[in-house]
Amino acid sequence: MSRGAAAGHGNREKMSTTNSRHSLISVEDEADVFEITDFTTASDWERFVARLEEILHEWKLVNHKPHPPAMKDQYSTGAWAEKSEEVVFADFRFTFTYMYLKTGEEIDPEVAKQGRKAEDEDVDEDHRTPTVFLDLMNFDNDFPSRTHFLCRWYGLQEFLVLTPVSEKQCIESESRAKLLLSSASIALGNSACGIPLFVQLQSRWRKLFTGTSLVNGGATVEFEMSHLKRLPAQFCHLAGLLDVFKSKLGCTYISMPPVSVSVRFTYILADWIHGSWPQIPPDFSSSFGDGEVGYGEIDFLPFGACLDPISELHLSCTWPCLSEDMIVENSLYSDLDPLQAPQWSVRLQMTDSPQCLLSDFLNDFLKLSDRQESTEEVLKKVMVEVDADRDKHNPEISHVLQRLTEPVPALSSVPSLGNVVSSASAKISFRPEEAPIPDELLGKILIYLFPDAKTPSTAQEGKTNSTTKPSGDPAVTTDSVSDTKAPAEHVSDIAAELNKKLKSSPTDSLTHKLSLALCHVNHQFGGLLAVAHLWQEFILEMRFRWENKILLCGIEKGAPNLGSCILHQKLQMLNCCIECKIKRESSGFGYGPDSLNIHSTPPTGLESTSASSTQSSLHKVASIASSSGDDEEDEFFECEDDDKVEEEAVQGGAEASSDLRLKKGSKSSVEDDVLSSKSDVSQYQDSQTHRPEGRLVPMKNYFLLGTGEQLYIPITQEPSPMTEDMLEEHAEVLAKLGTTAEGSQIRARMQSACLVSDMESFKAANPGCILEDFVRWYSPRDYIVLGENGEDVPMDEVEAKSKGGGVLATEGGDGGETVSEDAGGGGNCLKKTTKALQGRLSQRMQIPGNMWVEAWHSARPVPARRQKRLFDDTREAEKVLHYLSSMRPAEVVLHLMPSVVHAAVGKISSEAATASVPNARSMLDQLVSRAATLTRSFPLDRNKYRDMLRLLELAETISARTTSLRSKFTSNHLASPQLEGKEGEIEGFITSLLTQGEVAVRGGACGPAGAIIHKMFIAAQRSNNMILDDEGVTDFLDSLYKKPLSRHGSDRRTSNSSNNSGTDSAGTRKNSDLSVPSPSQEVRSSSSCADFPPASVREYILRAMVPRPAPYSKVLPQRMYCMLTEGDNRLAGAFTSDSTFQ
Amino acid sequence: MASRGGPQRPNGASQGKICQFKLVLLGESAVGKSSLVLRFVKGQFHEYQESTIGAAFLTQTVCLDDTTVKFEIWDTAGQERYHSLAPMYYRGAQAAIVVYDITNPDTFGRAKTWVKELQRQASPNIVIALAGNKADLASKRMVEYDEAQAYAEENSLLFMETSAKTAMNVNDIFLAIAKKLPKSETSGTPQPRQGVRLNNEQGGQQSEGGCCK
Repeated sequence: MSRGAAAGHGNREKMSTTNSRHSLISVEDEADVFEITDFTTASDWERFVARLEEILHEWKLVNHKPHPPAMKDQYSTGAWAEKSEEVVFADFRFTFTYMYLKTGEEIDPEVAKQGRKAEDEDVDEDHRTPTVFLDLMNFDNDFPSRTHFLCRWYGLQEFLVLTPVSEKQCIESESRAKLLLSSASIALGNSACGIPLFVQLQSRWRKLFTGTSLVNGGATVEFEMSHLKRLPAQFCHLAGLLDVFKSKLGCTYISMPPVSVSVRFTYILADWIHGSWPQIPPDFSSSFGDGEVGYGEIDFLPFGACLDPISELHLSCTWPCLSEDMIVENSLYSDLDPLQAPQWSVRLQMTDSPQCLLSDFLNDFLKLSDRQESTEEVLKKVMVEVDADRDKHNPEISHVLQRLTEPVPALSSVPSLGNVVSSASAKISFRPEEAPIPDELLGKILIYLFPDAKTPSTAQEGKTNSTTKPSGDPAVTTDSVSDTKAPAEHVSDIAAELNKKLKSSPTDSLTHKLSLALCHVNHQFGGLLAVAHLWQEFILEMRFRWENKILLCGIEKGAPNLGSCILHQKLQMLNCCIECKIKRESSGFGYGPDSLNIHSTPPTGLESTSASSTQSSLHKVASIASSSGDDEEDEFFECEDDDKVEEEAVQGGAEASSDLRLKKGSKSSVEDDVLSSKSDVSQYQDSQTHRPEGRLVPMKNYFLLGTGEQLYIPITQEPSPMTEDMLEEHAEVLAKLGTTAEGSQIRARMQSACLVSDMESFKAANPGCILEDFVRWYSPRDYIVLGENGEDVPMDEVEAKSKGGGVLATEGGDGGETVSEDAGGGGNCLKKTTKALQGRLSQRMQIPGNMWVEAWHSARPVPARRQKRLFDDTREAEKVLHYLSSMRPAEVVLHLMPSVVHAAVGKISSEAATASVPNARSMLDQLVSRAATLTRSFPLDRNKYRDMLRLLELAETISARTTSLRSKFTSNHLASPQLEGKEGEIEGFITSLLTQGEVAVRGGACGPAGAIIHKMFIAAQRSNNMILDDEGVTDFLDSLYKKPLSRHGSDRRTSNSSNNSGTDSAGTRKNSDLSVPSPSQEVRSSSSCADFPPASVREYILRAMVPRPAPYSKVLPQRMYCMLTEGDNRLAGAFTSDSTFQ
Repeated sequence: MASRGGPQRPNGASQGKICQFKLVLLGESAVGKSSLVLRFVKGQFHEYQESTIGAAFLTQTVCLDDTTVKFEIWDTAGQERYHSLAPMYYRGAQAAIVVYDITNPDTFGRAKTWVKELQRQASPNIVIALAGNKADLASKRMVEYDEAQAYAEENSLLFMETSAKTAMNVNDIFLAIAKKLPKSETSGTPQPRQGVRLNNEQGGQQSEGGCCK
């Protein structure tokens, strides 16, 4: 320290002189500068020291109170914290780090005190014993299972480290190290900080440090370290190390107290004789498994690890604090038999990347999302030649076709399921060897996707059949769907939860199957090309089904479920269109055989149950009633699809708000409807003359106010189904109108299409009706019943009173007989007959010029089936088809990811259940919640999905580990009578091995788990030394026999051999030093080798209380940690010396 | 010196924080949804408010501490027939006010079904407020305050009895919602939605909507 200080002074003087010379030169320019230059006299070195002090102050490490020693195992279980700052010494940058065990106030001081007394009686005379001393002599935390290496080597609970920031810069010369250390000492001394400080030397990987600590009360601790590749043979055992320790203490001449020794040997088991990695063998029977491990049918996700996910088992045998007199280990003899070790603990070494099948499978799929090619571009590569051929025969047509970049014609040039439209070009197809997916297989996949197209014929015929078969037959469809659902896999909570929480698609839906099928063709049939091919086929099938009115199977009916992924919604939408088309083109509105089905399916599951059920049940009744009653009527929608589109376009040009119209979406038609109906305002006058049409069902106890006839609920048009993006667009258009009165007006008009349509239907169904009748059905709370009536009109006297002294209130008070004329109601005649309820419209319905009245007047009596369609299925279907066909394969992949993730989580949950993974539930919950937020977030982000797949891989690995470990520990070979009834304990042991880092083996070698581990080691040893004994022969031969057959076996063998060579050399080296005649060998005498291999890592901690540097100095703690392992030997000593009388 | 004191200096941005929230009003017809909004947005009250068709759209801005909260309010029609359109409005909404009429128990029952639907279908962290409107007609009260309060607590809803006529609690309920909404810088609908819009127009295929059902 003194040297450093002296050097510092010298330095400063030199610096100041140079600086002042500088300033003298510059003083001619600016006289004031002189003062400032004086400020800079501090040298780099001084600044460095000052900075360190400053940081120590900042971190409040000055005048540090000593901590109690750490509790047992606190180093590995407690929380460690770290603070760091950057400091500069000249141009050398360091990271200054403070690592400490978080003790805090939560530790009861009483307990801490007791602990101290019990464990460190010899040290703890003085209550103010510095932390460092306590740490050095703390026997409770030898060999912590995981902690910072400095803590492991020196047993410290807090320390400071100076590390060069850059990897390239390192402290190599000793003088630099000394300079740094002495500078740091000054800082520590100045701030009275007793915390040990280390400086990292040499390359970072060597973890070589030198350190110091200035202990209050006149002592310094020097931390020294040596790191050697090879240790001289005479030091490779306890006796040798004790010699080193004692000579280092330099007080061999006085009677030294016995050194206390803690030893830990670690043995590595890398050869699992009885538990080879149990990967499911390939399923050769399936059409898909062409030799690949773990791949089966299309809907089968591969699962598991290719390599054994557990590579090694590390057994650590610990002998804690023995006296040096009690044990002997020298080159000839050793007391340290692992079977006799009082403490056993085990940790697992996992394989870094065990090549999980499922995650590989999914990652391959997600990788496609990086590709930018469009479907056509991808397929063109394969089709160019064929196209060229065609050019010769048919130059003009193909030319035209190629010119058109429209997706539809281009698509039709792909071989299809016999696409009717493109039948002319359907001849052109991949040449057999060029088709990414072989024909036969494609047929199988398509039948998997569209089981309703399946017929009991060969696959190829099935292909054509699927296209030609007019399968509007709902019975077949539903049957096949329910068939696939029948072998429901794991109907666990997770599966249900997944369906509910994930925004994906239901399991067994078409979307779900499509995602799996695409995954499979991607993995096995050439990636992008195959995906594009299948996708193309899929689109063609979609178009075919639309054109031929075949409902999609595996897509639930009804409006798009907003809780599913967008692709699924689109398919649902297409299904709606197909359904609508069927209805429209069969026998008119709501008469088809499907109509019941359609109405009875709850629309989206979005509406509250009560609402939808009432509505749908109404309709159900209605369709029964109407189909029987109105058979003779054969009404059709009159508008032709194409005409209509054009018509709208034309009208659109004339409209003032044409910009709105330009948006695709339902609102343009909505607006049209408003306009058209408005233009006809004058037409409808006498409602009593026409024949009632489009009645759904009589409304019980309701009679027309005008005529006294039964009031009928009309058949109405359903509001058009919308997918999420359409909703979004629609809402946005509405919002864009702004909040002005005008905007609001337009918005109301835009939205009144449905109202007008309903009014028209109502008028058609109820000749002679008036607005009041309509309101009673449509908005019952807007009809005020007067007086005593007990009818179920919900609005009662309450509202009547609320309007206080209104004119009409008095009128109402006159009684029901009055025929009241409401002048303000837009000329509306309110006729009240004695038969009807006595009441009137609510005040707000009578506001002059209000939309309802206006709409009522403009509405003509037209039954729903003759009205303009609110839902243009043709246009919507085309939109969906366009949407699908314009997707690039990358987008398809991304849009299917929610379904893929859904399937994968489901797979993992079932696998985890069979493997009974510890903490599976929390792991899965985490997966589900991550997946839920992921699938709901928009836009789809492939990086987030990549992260998700990483999580899934982790879960898969964990599951594979569990399977592997359990099979290792429960193998039949290891069974023995004394283990009977101990299964529970073994199970618990396995669980903790999987969930914790290092696990203590209860009872050491004698416990049940210990016994199994012992057997495993014996088996490994025998096989390594080619020893066959009676009981082992068959097993061993078996295992030898099996090895070359399985892929993994061969993998493992190579790793074994390398491992063997390693241990062998270690063994020879060690055997020359010390042979380990273990007592266990007598027991299992048949074998000539030891039960355990030579220890891979041997660790020793030597401690003593010795006065240093002179015999008359204070008695101070000394400690040395030694770690001996192949090619990496380390001695780390902490030697304390009394600095008072030095 | 180079310690961590520096970065926390505000760069003047904190005072200008603007959050935009989508709010939807739901409830039986004629309970006063439009009146509540009209009172909140324009401070007006019409004894006879025209029956809403489809949904009305209004905006109002309130200041809360240093944050400006802009409400985009969708005031929906209460008729049963329009029920199926409701998801369009509450989809992606950060807040909802479910309104009932304290003089009519049926409307309270209807409010409960709305709450249930929102809890199942709307964004998971939507802030739901329950408003017992027409509190000025307390003499005709049919739904007890305590009953509604208890229900609100059970379902962790904000609850107030309001009167669009007397303006009682109208601003308060909106402010209470504003307070409860998370006000991170990025919250509010506008940015993500515009992002989607662009995709719609240009890409034409990535057009799915926001983050929730």
